[in-house]
Amino acid sequence: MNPLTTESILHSFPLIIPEALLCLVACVLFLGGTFRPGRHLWGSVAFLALVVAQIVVSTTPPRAFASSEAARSALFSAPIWLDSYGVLIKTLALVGGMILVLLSWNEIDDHHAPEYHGCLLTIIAGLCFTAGANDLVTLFLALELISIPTYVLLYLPRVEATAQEAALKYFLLSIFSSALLLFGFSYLYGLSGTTNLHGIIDAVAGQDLLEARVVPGTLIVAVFMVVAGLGFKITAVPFHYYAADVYQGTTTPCAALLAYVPKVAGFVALVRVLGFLPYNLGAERGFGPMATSQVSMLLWILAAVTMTTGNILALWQTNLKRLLAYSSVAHAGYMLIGLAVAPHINFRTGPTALIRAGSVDAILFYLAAYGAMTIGAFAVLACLSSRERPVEEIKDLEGLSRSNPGIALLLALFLFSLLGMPLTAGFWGKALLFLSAFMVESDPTALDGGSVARWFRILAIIGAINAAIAGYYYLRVIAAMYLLEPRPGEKPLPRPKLSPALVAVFACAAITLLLGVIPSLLSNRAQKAAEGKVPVATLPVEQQQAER
Amino acid sequence: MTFDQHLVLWLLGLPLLAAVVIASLGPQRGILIRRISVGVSLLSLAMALLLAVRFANLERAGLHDTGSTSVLPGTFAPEFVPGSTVASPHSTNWTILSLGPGSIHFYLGVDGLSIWLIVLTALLLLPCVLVSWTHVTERVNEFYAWLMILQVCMIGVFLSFDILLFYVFFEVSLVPLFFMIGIWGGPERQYAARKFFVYTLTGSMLTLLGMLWVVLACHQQTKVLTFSIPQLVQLVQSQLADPTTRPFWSTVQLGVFLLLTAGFAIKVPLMPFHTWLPLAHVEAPTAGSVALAGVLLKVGAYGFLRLCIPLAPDVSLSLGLPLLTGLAAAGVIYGAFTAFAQDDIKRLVAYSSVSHLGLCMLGMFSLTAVGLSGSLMQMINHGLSTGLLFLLVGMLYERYHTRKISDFGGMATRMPLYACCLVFTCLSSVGLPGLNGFVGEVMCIFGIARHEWSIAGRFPILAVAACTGLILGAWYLFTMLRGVLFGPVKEPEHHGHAIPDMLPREWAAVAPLALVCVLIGFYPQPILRTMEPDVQTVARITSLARTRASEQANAEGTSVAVQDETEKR
Amino acid sequence: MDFALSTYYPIFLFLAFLILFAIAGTIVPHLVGPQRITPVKQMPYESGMDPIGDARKRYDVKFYLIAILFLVFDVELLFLYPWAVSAYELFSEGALTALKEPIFWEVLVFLATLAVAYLYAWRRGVFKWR
Repeated sequence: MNPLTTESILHSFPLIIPEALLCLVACVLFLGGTFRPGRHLWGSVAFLALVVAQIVVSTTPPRAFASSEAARSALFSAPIWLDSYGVLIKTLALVGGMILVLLSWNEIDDHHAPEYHGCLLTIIAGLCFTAGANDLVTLFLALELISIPTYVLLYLPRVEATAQEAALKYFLLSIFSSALLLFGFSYLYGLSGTTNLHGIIDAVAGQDLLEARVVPGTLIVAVFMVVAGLGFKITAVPFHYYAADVYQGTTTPCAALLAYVPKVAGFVALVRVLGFLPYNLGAERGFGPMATSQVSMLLWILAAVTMTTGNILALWQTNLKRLLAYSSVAHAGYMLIGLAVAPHINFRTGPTALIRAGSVDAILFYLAAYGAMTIGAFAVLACLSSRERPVEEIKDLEGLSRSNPGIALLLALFLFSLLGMPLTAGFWGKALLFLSAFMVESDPTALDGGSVARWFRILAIIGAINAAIAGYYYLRVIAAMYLLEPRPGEKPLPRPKLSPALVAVFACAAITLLLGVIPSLLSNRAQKAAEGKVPVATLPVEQQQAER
Repeated sequence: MTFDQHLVLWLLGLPLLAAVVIASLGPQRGILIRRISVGVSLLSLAMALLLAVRFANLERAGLHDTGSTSVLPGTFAPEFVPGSTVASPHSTNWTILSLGPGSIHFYLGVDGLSIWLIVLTALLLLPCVLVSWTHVTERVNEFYAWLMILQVCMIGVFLSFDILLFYVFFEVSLVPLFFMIGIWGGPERQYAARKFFVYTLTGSMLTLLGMLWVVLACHQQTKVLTFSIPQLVQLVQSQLADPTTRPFWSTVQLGVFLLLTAGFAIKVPLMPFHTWLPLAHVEAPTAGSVALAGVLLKVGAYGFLRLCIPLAPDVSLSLGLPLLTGLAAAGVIYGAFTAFAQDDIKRLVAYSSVSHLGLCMLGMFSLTAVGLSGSLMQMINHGLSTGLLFLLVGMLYERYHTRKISDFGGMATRMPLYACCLVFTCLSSVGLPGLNGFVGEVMCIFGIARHEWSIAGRFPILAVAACTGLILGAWYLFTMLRGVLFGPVKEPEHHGHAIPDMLPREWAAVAPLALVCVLIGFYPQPILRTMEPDVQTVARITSLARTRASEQANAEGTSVAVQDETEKR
Repeated sequence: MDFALSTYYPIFLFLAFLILFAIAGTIVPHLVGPQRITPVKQMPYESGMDPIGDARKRYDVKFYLIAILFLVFDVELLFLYPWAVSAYELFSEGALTALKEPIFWEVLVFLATLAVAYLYAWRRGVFKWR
């Protein structure tokens, strides 16, 4: 065995302590649940595990390398590469996990609770793995670690036909997408001879892709397949078909999970595989992404089609979960703007770049904002809904502002955030993404004669018009809550008691507002992370100069 | 921080605080809520007036001297900026979001373009509160909380000097008005609220793109990333002065102009984009109508003045002038005729808004100093007169629950004092000399006429259209007056209870506005003088754009001439 | 090509033993054991399904469970073969050095996971023939 690889594997272990911890606790949950049922007990254990994992993540100092040579070798061989972007994604995953645990607390009966929370922890562990994956194999395993427990989760809480349909639909399409992904991965491996992500990008792209304008056709096939496979996870059109049915069929917490976790995983995986996240070794800066113009064009089309389709289909929905499902499709489209732009701006911002903000950090910000507002909206529905009086349709919410002014205000907050109203997280997310689309500079020396910038401006305009279309259906929900009186003869919705799910709602609302008013809390970190700075121990001055 | 900076902050903070307090009081304690609202509106009016007085007495050194000799026209110089330092009194260091080299700042301030609009906003809050006293009985706390939030947003728009902060306030102002129309509005309130919201949202999303574009274009050319409006204006002007960058900037300006116009033209509203306005006005509760007509429409016009013209002067001249003045003139005539055809008084007033704002845009896009001042005056005047009209219509509606002109007749005998007020307001609205409307309208017409006469041998068709609009304004308003106030007495069904004339509360709502109308009519100088330096800044920007355009035309002309000669040979 | 047949002697030996054992296992019971023939005992799969008949026949869900358990544990144990092949080299230097290698501990984690799964299935009563 290659000693370098052994060493790098050894070095990878400390990086996955949080994931290992989560998996361990998941095992404890699975086993312990067979001895003692109880949702409060196992819910607290799961929550505690996530908190401890978060503490570990945030207290672990970044691994500093002795020299940039060592950093480089680790970068090109380690199965796990944890940069600050990965750490942020892990934080997103763990915080999201905590909120999801709270949200599911009372949705699940005592008997199923340990398995449910065990699966949830495994899913979150998988998401954390995805954040740090530096190898096709690790990445695939991480994605499967998310998918497989998800199938179980979809089956666990419910036994009706719709739930069965949802689970089966998700299962079949998910394995299909995994197959597509593997197909793409195999081509990438065949082209480059390595499974290391940086190695692949290095091999197929060379140091400078804008110079290497000839792209092998097989690479396009590979990228196409990878995007298709991950497109399922992020519900990009045309892989969005399952979303509405599955969200509607399953329980509200599961729908929230499906709207959040796979999307984060899919976007992180896309960013990693396509090499949109540069590394920065002080003197040396990472490569441009692969197959610049073709990939970017593919993502451009995907973004435009996804947001338009999602928004237009959402216009006709009367079921709240279906509406949120299509809205999540549309939001995937907005985030795809950031991906489509990435090849054009990350490459151009050298170490001395003036604008630190790129599109990759905009995606990260948007993921956080999107998570808070979407999980929040689902959480409100979960809080309101009860067995006697389910909240499924928009008309179930009529007059909510009279019977439940507080919770109506919170749902309105989430919806306004999804709409992109200022003072909420959603606005800054959209603003940063649109900003990145305008950041593409027209370069008359480029192959296309500088028309790229114009194309991205058009994409931003499509995005803006879509945001306005989206306004229509979010407003329908708000209008039902505020402008309509409760239907006569119907019992008003009971006020939700203080429960973990309500705490989840408050947490989401706090994040939405906090990021809306003080966006720099997250965006500064995201920008730093997107720089891809690798911590290298300070070199002697002469050596630094020599490297320059 | 100085006293003035505190004033600026509290102008925003006080209504916000009041909104939170009112919302948390609950719907049962209506009296307390109303009293708090009156107190807050009086206090913010006092603060705004104090700020205006202090601003008017300010020695604004250096603002007049710059442009005369230098090539650059100078830029806006906001005063009383919270978070400024002694070294740079016109900028702030309160950051909201930093993006590498530049940041989005919490950049508030006051200058000549905005100070009187702020006073107007504060002035209109009091009647809004008073007129809803008995009108709004359900969900009282929510109503007054939204009203206060609306106040925050509108004052915020005028105070902000950061382009994104401007957008934030601009956009958020939709939310309170959406709820005000949707909850307390007329029978078709839901449709009206949603149409209003989606319509304006569409425009403002595009506006956001325009703002981002101009910021990034500046960054690309000058490597300075800034969101501060004064700095952006300065950068754009210095770039335009350099002939080598003109091809780049002509594209950018075109895009920026179109995107910004998309949002602002809907907000103003210019003629083909006005369809949301009559609906929203008719369905809105009186306070909503007053706020909408009085201030919110000005936000659009103010956006043109503050952002669109200074950031895209060349395109404003080459495209904006013919296009927007054309639309505005069409709007003047169209609004007047449509208003005449209405039977619903509120709808009539709404269409008269379209007409009056058309005149305002006509003055502004004459791109002359007098036109710009006139349009700013017209904004203030329209806020006063139309605000008054909506108040009075609201009072009538509250008494009889109908607004149809055909239901009324001879009301002057029933409510003589009310009739006086209505006549006075209509006179102010049609621009009787000696009242406020006259000043703005005359200046707007001067502006557009001066522009048209500067083009040799052209008939001043736009000025004529504007004058026609004024005459038509008198026509439809007096027709309405005749129908409602005079002639044989015809009173709608009112279920027996006595119909009072003007109540003290209503006097308190109407009197301050009427007083200001008279004051402005007789002595507009203080206002004109305060806004002068900043209007001059914009005017200088446009006159430079004119110079550039004529230079270019000359250059093209000579090249064509040379070509002709070579062909002859 | 260097081909030494002697390398394969153990396999041949193993094969021969297998074949012999199988034959012996078929024949010896016939010779030694007592035989009481009943129709049920004559079926190809005692207490199982009759292989001849309608294909659309209901199976007991218990069989699926068994099949899945077999599949899971068998396939996962298959993973040990490639592991053994790559660990072989390391272990040739002695057991103590092997303890230092991560690959040894990795397989222990793997086995522990399997054990947890086994215990879980056990506790949930999967192995009970209900």
